[in-house]
Amino acid sequence: MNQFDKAGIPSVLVTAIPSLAESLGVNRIVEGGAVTHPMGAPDVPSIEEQAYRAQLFELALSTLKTSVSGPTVFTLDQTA
Amino acid sequence: MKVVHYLNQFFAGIGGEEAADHPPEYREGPLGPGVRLDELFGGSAQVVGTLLAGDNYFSMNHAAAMEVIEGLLRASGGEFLIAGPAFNAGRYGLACGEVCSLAVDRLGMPAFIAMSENNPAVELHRAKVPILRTSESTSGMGQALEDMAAGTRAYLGSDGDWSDASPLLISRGIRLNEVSPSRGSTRAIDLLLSKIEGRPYSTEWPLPEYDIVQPSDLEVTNSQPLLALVTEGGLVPTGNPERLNSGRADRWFRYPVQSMDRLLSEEFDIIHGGIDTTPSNENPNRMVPLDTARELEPNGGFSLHEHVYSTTGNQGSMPAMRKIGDEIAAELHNEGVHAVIATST
Amino acid sequence: MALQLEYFDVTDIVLGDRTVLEGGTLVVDQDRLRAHLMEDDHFEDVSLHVAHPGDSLRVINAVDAVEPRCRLGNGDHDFPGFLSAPQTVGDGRTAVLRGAAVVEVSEPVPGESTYWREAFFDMTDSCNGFSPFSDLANLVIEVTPVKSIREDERPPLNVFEGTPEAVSLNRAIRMAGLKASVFMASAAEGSEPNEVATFDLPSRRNTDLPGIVYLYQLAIPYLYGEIVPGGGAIGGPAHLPTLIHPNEILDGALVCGWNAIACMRELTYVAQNHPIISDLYERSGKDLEFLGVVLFANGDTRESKDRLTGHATTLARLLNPDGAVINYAGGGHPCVDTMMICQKLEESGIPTTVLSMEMAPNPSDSGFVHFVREADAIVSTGNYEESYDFPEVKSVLGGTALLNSDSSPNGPFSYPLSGLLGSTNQFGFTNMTARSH
Repeated sequence: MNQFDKAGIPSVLVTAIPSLAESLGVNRIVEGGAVTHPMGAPDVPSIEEQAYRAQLFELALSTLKTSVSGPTVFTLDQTA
Repeated sequence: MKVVHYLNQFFAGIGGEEAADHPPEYREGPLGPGVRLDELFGGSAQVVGTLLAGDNYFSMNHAAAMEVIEGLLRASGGEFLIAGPAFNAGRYGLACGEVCSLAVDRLGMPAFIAMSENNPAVELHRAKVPILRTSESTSGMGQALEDMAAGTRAYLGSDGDWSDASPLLISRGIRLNEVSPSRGSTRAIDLLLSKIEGRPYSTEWPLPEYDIVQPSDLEVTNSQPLLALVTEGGLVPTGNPERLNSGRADRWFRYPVQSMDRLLSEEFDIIHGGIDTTPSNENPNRMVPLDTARELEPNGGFSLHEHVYSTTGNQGSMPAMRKIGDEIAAELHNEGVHAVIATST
Repeated sequence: MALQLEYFDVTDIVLGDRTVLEGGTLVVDQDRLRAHLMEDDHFEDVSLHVAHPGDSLRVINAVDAVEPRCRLGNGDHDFPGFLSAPQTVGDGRTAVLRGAAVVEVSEPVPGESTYWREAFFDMTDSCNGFSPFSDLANLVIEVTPVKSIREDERPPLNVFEGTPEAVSLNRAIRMAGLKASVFMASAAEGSEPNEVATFDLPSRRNTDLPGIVYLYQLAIPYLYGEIVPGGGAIGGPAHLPTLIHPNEILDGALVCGWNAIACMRELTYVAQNHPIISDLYERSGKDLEFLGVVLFANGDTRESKDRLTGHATTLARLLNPDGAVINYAGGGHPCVDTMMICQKLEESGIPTTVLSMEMAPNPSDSGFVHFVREADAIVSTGNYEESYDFPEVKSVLGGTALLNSDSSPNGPFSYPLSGLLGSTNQFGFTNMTARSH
């Protein structure tokens, strides 16, 4: 992940264990679903899952435009 | 102890850059800096011969090169291999690494390399081969040779252990098991009491240090930024035709998604070996959100790059992961990709 | 609540026609013991063997190991919740046959998970002290399950647990180990012990000494006969972290519940001889004060991890500690809980040490599953992925094949430390560790 930042390409990581990504120095981190499906929610009906994935995706996109000064975790229930 | 000394074409006196293709040779006795090294051993070891090759030799035909070197080393009757000092010379350092790794792997022969801490070959070889620290430039030759002799003596004197030589060595970035004089519970309590009582203490297992990298921001401009999806979750076409490893991967792949609206479970598998892959195998979009990306693309202010990129992060070694990251980053850069959304397990 | 352990030193076990302790030799009435164990309907056959230190022998397919012990008071229950009705243990007198162990071995059956089942140790000195059982006189109980279990054709329901029949069989095998343990230890009744040790927590706090609390992470052992699974909040006392008296651990409240990876399987023997609890007791009143133990498992979602680690931290802080020892049980994501507790305690001003084994498939991997920056005092119990060479031995007990290797179980073969019973024990029972180079 840091290699993308080094190359000047803003990047964001969606992961279920944000604290691990933080310790590794990943700058933009979005807290995802679960280890087995970072962008999924298999336990809810498909329509809800699609909406959830779209929300995560939009959040991830928005973080790319947000300035961060070090590892920062973004979650869906946060208001920026 | 019979030492074989590895040198490149320059230090062996063959020539400079024009001789970089020089094929490997073995010559009896020490050459170039090996002469002084032999003197410094003072009888504890002896440079019985010099193995030499041009710095470009290995890149020309790697497999054949290794066969030739192996043959020469076996025939030499040597018991210990010393390569360098290579200082900051990258190709020389890499050649030293190749030859010493071969000695360790194929002949079970102890070996070490002398080069500077910043030599690019250090990261690749230090786990397998001990590397003795030298200065950056050849002006440190005298000191390097003295250290090489001292390191050799320390190794021989401790019956094949590198511990005594460790102040001279570059950190190998490896951890090895050993048996402590006391049991873990005792050590834990001792460590805790030192910490509580303000005495100096050190962990038995240092935490990894990672690079701090300044992130750049995505500029909001009129044009649509090109966004690429990357995953370490081990996305592969069904059947894994290229055999991406489910763990300890050293490769990455890209898959064209130009014509797709979503990832279909019939066409893609998730093979990350450290997780239950069922949810993402049922719907690979849970690992790589192509469906959402396509859905949002028309109005989302971005356009999606034609490839998705995949590797497996399970038990990945840091050097391998960095290399993969660099390679993908380079391709993304060349393809004009502006931003990345990545997923990991 | 004071526990008195009466140690009877055993240097040899002999199978004979009566059960008696003669000096350092334990004679075991093999017919009677066998008949006692065969009462269990799961077993078609039980055979008894002895493995002595120095024998050219390898024990494979180990399930659990137990130290022969029996409680000595009238009305006392042994291994309550298992062999008898529940009863709080950890007080009174218990006889210990020190130097001996009971090890149950049995080949896996259909429907059993073989993922982590492989568990072996050598009686030769090749183990170099890597497995605690190489130095003990072991009574090895070899169990052959009944045909219906052996020839079950159904696939496992759950890759970790296996079919209900396989789970039930494994529990029966463990019970057999406990029964044998009590049977053997009863030989000591009426004799004079070689040594007596008393375990008692201080009744008044000595504030000159630093008070230490131990936070004990479990994976899946049984507590008083109840399963304590790693994660999930389905009720039961130890799903929510709980305070517990350390004497209960030392006196048979905790029994191995599951075939986790051999190197860190939560063996009954190790709980009975818990090194952290034993060491804290040993030093209490000298350079520290032992305050107590918090037992915790782990949550399986981010939320449950937050809740459980918060509660474990609160319980620890109720004891007003000056420092805390925390162990990681193994198994991957439980490491997140261990590290969260470390972080929360450090944030509240309580210094911690963490004990953990390393999981580095190759020497340049960090070996960490998870870490927090506050974990700056870690004791490593060794990297279980490092491989060792095991020699050829004359005999093998416990089966005819290794599970995860095509090599003959007689050897020679190479195998990572993960397969060696108790070798990287996460409570620091062995001297194994690792160092950076």
